[in-house]
Amino acid sequence: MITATSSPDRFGSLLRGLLRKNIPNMVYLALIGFIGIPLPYLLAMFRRWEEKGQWVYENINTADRGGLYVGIAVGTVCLLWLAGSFILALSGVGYMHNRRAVDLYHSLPVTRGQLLLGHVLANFLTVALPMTANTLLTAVLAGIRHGMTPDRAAFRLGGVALDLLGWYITAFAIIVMVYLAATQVGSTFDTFLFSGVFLAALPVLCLTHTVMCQSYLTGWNYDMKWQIFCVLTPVLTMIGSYTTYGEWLYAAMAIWLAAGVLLLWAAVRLYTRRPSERAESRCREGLAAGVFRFIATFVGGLGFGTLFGMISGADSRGTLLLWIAVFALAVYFFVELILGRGFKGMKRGSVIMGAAMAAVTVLYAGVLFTGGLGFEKRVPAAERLASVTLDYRGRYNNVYLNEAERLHSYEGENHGIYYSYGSAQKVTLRGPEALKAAAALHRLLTESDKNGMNSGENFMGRLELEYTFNDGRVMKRVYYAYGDDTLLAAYAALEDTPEFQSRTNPLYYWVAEESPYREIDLCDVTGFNKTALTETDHDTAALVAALRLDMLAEKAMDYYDPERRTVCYLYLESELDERYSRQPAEKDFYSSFTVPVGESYTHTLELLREWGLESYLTPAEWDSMFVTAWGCDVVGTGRVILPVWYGVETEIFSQAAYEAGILLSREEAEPLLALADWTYPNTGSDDCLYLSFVRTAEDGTKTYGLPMFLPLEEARRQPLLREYMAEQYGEKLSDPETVDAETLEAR
Amino acid sequence: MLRGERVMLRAENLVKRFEDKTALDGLNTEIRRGCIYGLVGPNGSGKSTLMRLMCGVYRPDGGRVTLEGEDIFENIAAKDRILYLSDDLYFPPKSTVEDLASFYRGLYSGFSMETYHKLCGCFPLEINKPLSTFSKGMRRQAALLAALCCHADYLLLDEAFDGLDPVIRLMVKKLLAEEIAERGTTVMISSHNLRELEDLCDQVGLLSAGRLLFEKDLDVLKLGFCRVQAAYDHPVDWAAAGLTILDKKERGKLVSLLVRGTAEDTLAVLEAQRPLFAEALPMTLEEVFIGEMEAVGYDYSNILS
Repeated sequence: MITATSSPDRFGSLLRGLLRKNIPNMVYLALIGFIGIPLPYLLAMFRRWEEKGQWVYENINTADRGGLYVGIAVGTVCLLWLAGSFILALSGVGYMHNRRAVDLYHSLPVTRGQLLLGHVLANFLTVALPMTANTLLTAVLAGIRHGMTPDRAAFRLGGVALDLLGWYITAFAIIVMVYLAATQVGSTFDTFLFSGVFLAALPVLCLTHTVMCQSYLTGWNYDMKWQIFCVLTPVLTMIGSYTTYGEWLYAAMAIWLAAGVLLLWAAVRLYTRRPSERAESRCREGLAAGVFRFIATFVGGLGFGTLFGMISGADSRGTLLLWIAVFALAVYFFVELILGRGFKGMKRGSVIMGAAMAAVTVLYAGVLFTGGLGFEKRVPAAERLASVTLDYRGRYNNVYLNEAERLHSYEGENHGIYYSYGSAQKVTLRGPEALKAAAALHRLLTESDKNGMNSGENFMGRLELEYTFNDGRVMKRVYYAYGDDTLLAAYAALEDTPEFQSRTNPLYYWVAEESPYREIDLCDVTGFNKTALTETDHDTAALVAALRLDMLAEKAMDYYDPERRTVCYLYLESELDERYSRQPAEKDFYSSFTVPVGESYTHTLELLREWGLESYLTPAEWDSMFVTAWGCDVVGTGRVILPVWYGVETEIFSQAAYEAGILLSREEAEPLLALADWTYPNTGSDDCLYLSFVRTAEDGTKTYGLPMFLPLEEARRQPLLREYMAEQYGEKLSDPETVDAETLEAR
Repeated sequence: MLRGERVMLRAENLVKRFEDKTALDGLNTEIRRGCIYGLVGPNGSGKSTLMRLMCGVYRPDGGRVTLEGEDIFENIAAKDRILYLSDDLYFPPKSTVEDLASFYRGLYSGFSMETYHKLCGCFPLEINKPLSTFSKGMRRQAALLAALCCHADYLLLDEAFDGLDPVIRLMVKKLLAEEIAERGTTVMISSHNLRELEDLCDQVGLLSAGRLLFEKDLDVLKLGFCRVQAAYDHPVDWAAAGLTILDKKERGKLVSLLVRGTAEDTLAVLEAQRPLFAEALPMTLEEVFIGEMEAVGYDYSNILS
């Protein structure tokens, strides 16, 4: 029974009324939230397992920064916050789209601003209250669990608060965007469409632009960072924050809080100007409809046009442009059909607008197809450059240069703290000689139409260049390089510059007094005959010094020469790996590495012979050879791949033993060996057969050794391999077909 | 406007367009305080649009709607004094009569719980039952109940009696009369049915195609016309009789006339023609409108439903 007198607090009264209306929704959300958030935690709380004869509580693994969301809880949280905000907002704006409701609400003695704010706040609280309650309940459970197992349970109240704050901002931004869209349209369906577009517009446009540029603009390398992508829409912000922790979340939250407030202000202004009679009307006019049309036309035209062009095998970019134009128009008129609920009432201006939007789409694609207004051919002059960074470390690509700054610590055995490091993938060059060599290589890459297309023969790897100009500007390019010896020579010229060597060669700055290489392992090319050379028995420093001289003397083109023959492998075991795994490194350091010693390594070979290690310089005995289509014990170094060997203490893990292959006797294999190479061009795909040396013990046990490489074209000519080649490759030149487990077992 | 009475609600050169259609086209009107203004007109003539403009639901495309000189749109103080009931009622979802009263109580400063309790006794409604389960007439009753409790200075009622049974209709008319008597409330009622407003309105305005054809006090309106009937046993030359006859029906010796002028003057003319008998008849609002509209050359057939 009503007993109070009239209240002057109109906003409060309105809000209370709206919240009362939303109570059932809050209850549903609270229930679903309880099942999805505290309940899994509650179930995990008491789960135990046996450890050393004792029952101990299982560690609770959580995926959030607060340490509360177990298993599916993260999914539930994301779904409920996002879908809850969106659906409730759609339901909340329903009054704007109902003429009868508009008659009531707009005649009341409240401003439209108050009306909209009241609805936004009611929607927000409807989502936030039950979700907060469930989160706090889980935090209480986590607190109880922490009391039960203080050494295992880990939850962070700061993380919980940050998560909640992030979700509040996300929900607020989504609700505001729905209301903003609602002010511009006349039905809930249109609100759904428009707010969906508002929420997805920026990521979709960015994604479209990125995909188009990466597909059609040679050299394009502006990869969208996932964090930036997550900032472009509130829908992805918190999801992204669970996959990529970092301070970017603070920026994202600040951006969406500010954007939410700004959009709310805009929504209030637009709502005040909104004609009430727009309710139940179709939405063909207005800025929002224009934006919606354009995004649909642009994205749909490009997406469907290029897709259909590819499916239909469009052989020229002109044809592709035609398809883009056709689909842009088709999508535009389809959107017209949806917005106008049919073509009736469509104006001539709308047709012109459609043509204009399709033209813009085609123009955009045309710009990309014709080199992006000079983007593809641009190579900076070396004298204008301060530096260039390449994701290419040449022949020393397999040597890890651990970066002291990229330190990670983790808890290892006996609760000890261990350290690991990120390794350098790139090299930055600043000297004029290296800059010139890099620019020359870049120029060569721009001169071929094939570079940038991720297909074809003579693939020479992916190359990323990032120039920094003298004035601080940055220019990035990435290429999928295809070429012949000219391109290889350009790579080699770059690699041979002293600066490149100094940045990549692990022995470039080596001095005997500080040598971390106290043990050097040696093995023959088969991988069967191996020994460790220790400091106590041999002058390992002298061997490193000799090796350094030989490595510095060997030109890149000689290293990449298919005729280069490996005599033996040396594995330089660095003490720094062990030392810096227990203490933080003060400076960058190289890990242990393997060197394929070539015939030109005269100083090294002479020393080894001097030490009576001649037997390691010739291949050890082997009796058979395992042929497989799958790479095993190989590593890419610069422009070639070669067998990899990690010292005497590490067994050769021959993937051959686990793959489909055929075993040949030595007699059968000898002719193949004559055709095989010690190294192979690094094309990034398995376009050679791998011939692994095999030695059979008296009891029949087979030991697999290191591989050699047989080019596919040679393999195809071998009658002995015909059946295997047909089975693995069919009609294809490369990419062997995967063998299913059943077939493998049968073999 | 009657001399000496204060104009409170005023529309000046009011224009409202819906896309290509002009619903109100330079409309001017003044509604004085304490009267019941009947707004009549055919369907689509702009009655509801005018009301929505007067309560601030619509923003005018041209001209102004003012309450005591202030624009009404987005003016809380003005809207607090105006209560509008649409012809197609809307209630907050799942609400009861009590919820509705609570809703209005929080928004209108004049809401009276005393009136609410009193009216709950008048209207035969179950106040805790969801309005969605009510019949059309009952929902209308609930809306009127809540509206009357708000004690707004202006009640804008669009098709207010739609769906009400005759008893409730009579009661509502009585309640409206009481409101006016006790609080000086101004009531604007729209209808396309003239008979419904006949015994209620002080002032009527006829709206057609977005324009006010005329607006007059009902008394003045009725004084300008009279219906008489007389019987003659000889032919009468009515053209030469000196009467402004707007409508004439003859059945045998009996003739019925709608005449511009007072009943006394008209009867005097009829007596001069030596009738078997002659008398003045009460006039319906409908007949008055026929007269007025014929005077402006308007086809009235579609509003005499």
